[in-house]
Amino acid sequence: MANHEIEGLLAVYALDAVSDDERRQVEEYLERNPRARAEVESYREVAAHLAFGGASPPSDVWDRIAAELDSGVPAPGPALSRVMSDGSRPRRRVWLLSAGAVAAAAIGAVAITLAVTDDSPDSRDPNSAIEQAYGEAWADPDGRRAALASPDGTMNAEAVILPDGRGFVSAGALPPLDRSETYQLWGVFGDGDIISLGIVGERPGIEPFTARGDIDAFVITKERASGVVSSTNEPLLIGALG
Amino acid sequence: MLAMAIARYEHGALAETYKRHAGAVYALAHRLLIEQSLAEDVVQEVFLRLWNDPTRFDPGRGTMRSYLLTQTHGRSVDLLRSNTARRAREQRQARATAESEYDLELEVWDLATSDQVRRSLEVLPASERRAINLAYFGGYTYREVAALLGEAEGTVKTRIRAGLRRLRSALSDAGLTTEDH
Repeated sequence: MANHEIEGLLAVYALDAVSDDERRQVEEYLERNPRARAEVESYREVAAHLAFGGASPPSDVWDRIAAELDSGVPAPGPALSRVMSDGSRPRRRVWLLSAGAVAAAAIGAVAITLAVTDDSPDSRDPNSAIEQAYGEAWADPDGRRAALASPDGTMNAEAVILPDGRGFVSAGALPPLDRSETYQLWGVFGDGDIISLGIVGERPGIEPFTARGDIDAFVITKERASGVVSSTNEPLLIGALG
Repeated sequence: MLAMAIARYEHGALAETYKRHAGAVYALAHRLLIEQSLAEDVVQEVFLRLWNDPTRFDPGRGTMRSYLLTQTHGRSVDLLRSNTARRAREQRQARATAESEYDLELEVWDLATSDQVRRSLEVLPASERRAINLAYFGGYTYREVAALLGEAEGTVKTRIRAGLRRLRSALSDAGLTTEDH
């Protein structure tokens, strides 16, 4: 299907009014066209206004959901990944993550930007809440800390992780990136795994993440805005946990 | 903050999100599927999916409400197009013919949605309202909408796109959404 034909399907795609085959083609197109993605999202926002808030669902629906939550809270953190050496370029790494890793990497982005998009009437200022949580984590005697630095020493960041897996990276000193790019945080584990711990945005401040396991070090890379499944970029900053 | 808390598996955050949005989620699923039990299943599935995989919600791309309703619509349409809901769909198809003069504006008015949304809908020509209604609330593909309305497929695509853009602009004028396209 030609691009102009796919463009003509964006509105009906946003309403799920296309065939499965057309949906696949539109989604492939959206993968490489952020403007088209934004257009689809804008149509969906419009549609959301049309979907009125009717009566609440029967109370047993929430009971069923709550029962599922109690049946087992999933372990936080992204899927494990393996570090793969790229023999043709000895100093460069190809980090192959599992299929779900990019989605998992978005945890940071969720945390950072929700406050400006959620229509919560009573949300607290997320920045002050995160700053407070970061301060408490940093002061926690059981917290493990890392000072991250670039090889030339011009860029610095700090990270702390608590025994329960909650962590924060303070990266406000990093230079802002273009909106098409993001910093991405990775954890280096004792067994050689490298796990994406989150996309921390193009202008990071103090960003939360969640991780479990025996982390030895943190790495920050610069990636495209959506984050990556496999990075071939050199680490910008590295810091070992104390 | 709610999504962050959900990402940390805090039950209270999911409960708050449910309190705010479950009504719209349920209403949309019920409208599409007719059968209450199917609609309830969709509500359960949508919120558990948010719980189990909160990172699928990208706040940079839209609101939580929009995300949940997109998930709801997609799942409901999947069910509609499956054998499970075929009988209900056939019943709805018969009703759709009888409701050819169905008025989206009236529906919103009856359900006391905001005045601003209702006024925004007034800008839509009937032909665009009808096409959007059948696609969004009927769960039909644009080809099916074209067949139901006896119009060319290209015409239906154009009307849906034009109608959504017109609504987007009207909602933006009313301060209800941003118009950046």
